Amino acid sequence: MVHEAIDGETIAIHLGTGTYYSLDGVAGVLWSELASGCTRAELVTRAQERFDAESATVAAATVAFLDELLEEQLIVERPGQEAPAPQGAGRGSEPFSPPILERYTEMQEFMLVDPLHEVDVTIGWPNVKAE
Amino acid sequence: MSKPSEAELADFLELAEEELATAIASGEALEQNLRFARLDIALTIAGEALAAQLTAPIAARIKPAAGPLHARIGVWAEPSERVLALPWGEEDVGPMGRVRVDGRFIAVHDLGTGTVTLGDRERARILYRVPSWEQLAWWERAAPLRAPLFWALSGPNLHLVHGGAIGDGARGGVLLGGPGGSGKTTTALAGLEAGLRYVADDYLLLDARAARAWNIYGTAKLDADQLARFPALAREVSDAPPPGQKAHYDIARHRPDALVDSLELRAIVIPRVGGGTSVLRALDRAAALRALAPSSVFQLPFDRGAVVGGLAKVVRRLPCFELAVGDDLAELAAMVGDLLDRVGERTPA
Repeated sequence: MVHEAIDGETIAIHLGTGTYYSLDGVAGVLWSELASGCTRAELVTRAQERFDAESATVAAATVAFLDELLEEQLIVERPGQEAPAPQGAGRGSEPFSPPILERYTEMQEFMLVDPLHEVDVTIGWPNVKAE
Repeated sequence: MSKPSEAELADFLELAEEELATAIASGEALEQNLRFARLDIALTIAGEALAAQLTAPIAARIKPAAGPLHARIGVWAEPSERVLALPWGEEDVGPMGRVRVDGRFIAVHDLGTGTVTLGDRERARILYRVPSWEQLAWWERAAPLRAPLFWALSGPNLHLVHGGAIGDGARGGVLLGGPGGSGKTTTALAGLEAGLRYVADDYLLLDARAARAWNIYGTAKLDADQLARFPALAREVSDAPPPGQKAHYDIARHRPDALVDSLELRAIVIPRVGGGTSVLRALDRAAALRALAPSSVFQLPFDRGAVVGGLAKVVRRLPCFELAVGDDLAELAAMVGDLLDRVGERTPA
């Protein structure tokens, strides 16, 4: 998986499946929170404190978005994290709309075309990619 | 059969070296230094016919070595007798031809074309065996040695990009991005016809830090529609392509002055097949990266997505445009020229 944020939008590319994604607006905000590392509960609380909407609405949309990211294998969940309980986080001021994960699949056919070569990009050929 | 171990691959590489040495000893061999960006690669190809097939598109890259050797590539065709048996079976070949790529020794087997790439990372040595020069796939003749070259050329600031670049020395160049069939080649060749310089229409090396595009191949690939749209170029194409294939137009041979080593990039242009009148409009950066990155990642997945970071670096730095490619090629080229007039003014030192 490789991702890059540019002007508020994140482009995420799943190297294994050939699918790539665009995360804009609320989705881009949640992604950047996830990229910095957080639990489900922390993400929900941060979203509730940031966006101007009913806390239950934000929580439900955030959890649904998380589940979608997990299903697409864009993130992995470490064991031991509890599902968030709705809580009384403060209400934020940024406009809220349900986060959308835009999915593009037209590159999947190319996955079968080219030999894959793995090179350590920090030092280049002929060094081994450290796993 | 199971996947070969590191030791088995090491042994196989030695045997392959012997097979290559025998092929070299049994006829003429080409030995040249190739220069890509600032990297020198020593190329040896056994057999005149194979060398002739593989080197025409990279003829402009043949230059005297100017630095330490970055890699040595040896290329030969399978002998007609006593062919070296592969230490793996077809069932061991994974996605993208991977047999083993995670240790010192690597092996990639393209089952479609029968080519085998072997590498020894410690010795910066790459071996590339093809079934025969007569059976080279048309894309291998148009853009030869992609597997060994691309393997060798990926690096920290140098990225293999699926894209084109045209422009000139005074105004710099535009990076043409987007998936196959979007109009990169049409735009690049329209520019060529209008007197712009050419670095690439399909694959290039991007120095992301310097925002500079470097040439790899001196050949453009044209399908039947493009041959009809570029009659002057079509007249210089030696063979009409069979259905489903593309003709290659040898720019180094027919327009040697137009082929340049590199261009400093001043803008990013994402062509889209349009029709009617060509239209150039500003494009937001995220849309530009979305158009540029996936096709490089999935057509040239050699650096595990690091190309995305390199592309993002230039997307952040350069103005981005979408170009609806119209019917009038002169108008299309003029649009790129006008853009270069606008963005290509050099910043005073």
